[in-house]
Amino acid sequence: VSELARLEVESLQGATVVRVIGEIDLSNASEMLDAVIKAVPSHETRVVLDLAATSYLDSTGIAMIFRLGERLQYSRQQLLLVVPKQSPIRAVVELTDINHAIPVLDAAVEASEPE
Amino acid sequence: MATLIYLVFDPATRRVRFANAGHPPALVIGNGSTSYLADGLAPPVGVTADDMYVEVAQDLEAGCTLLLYTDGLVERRGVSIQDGLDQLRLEAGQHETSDLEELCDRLLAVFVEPSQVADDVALVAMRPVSVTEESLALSLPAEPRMLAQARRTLRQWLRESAVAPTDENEIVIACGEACANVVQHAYGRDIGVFELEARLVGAAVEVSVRDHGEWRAPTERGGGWGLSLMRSLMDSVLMDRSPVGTTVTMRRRVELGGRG
Repeated sequence: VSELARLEVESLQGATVVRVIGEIDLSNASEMLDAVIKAVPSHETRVVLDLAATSYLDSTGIAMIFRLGERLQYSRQQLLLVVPKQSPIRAVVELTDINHAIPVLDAAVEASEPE
Repeated sequence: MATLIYLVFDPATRRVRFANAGHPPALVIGNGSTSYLADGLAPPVGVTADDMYVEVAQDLEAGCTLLLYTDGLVERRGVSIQDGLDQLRLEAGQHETSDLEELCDRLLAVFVEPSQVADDVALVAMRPVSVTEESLALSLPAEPRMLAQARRTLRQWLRESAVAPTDENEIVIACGEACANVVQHAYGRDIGVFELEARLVGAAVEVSVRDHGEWRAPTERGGGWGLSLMRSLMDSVLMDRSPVGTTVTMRRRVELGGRG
């Protein structure tokens, strides 16, 4: 997507996982938003944005995630975030209260649907 | 005929560049492994007509010690030079955490018998340390693509100043927000610069970000999350506005020396 980050997309049971590997800041946040939306099939009901390999996320990135959540809600798709407890971006996620709007999980496996 | 080893060490990159004309190899002691800089060996000075020496580079990890010495240290009657080198490597490896004076005293005690010294002996030991008094000063174009570079440079300086990883990470986040603010809001159509400075003040890190743009109220400057992150992650955030620009100065108490 940019020099700072790349995406990996994987279909889990009942969810599409989009992994962001690298850094998200002012320089690439809007590109990331477009790329994530493009990566999600329209029939998918749950989208997991996996930030376990995201080493930096600034407030523009947080705004991008809020926008992504709104866009997906519009098409009746649910967004979940994965941010492990020891992640370097955990503080940003907690301090901006994004978990009040979008569920934050510790690991992507929790996002797959129970049998 | 003379042997010579010539080294240049750059503390910013921790890179050693060297050429070796027939001298016993420099020894790198530390981080659980001790090994010779064996590459780049060429004949002694004055042996060949066309003097060609290969330059070799190697990174010196933080906390490592570089040992240079003359052959008198490892050459003894009845002992092959290879055995001498092997002994030196083993002996020095046991003292990777000793201070340099102690290391040299120890090596001299083990390898040099005063009654049997056939050659003179010289030892040079070097262990790079972070110069904590040193401050960081950086000036970059106020463009989004420069933000990552500002963060990387700050991160490296914090590491070299032995700031603990949690402190490092959260200072980088707060400072990244301050820099992004300038890039996003301080200048109109022209691209100015932003200046980033960091220094240690006792057990605190002080970071300042300066621009020469027009003052706008924090709320207009994306002051929502950015500013609240800065305030949450730092002990103090001061904004100093003047007609010629704005300086954001932030401080945070940190744990030092946490990296061993």
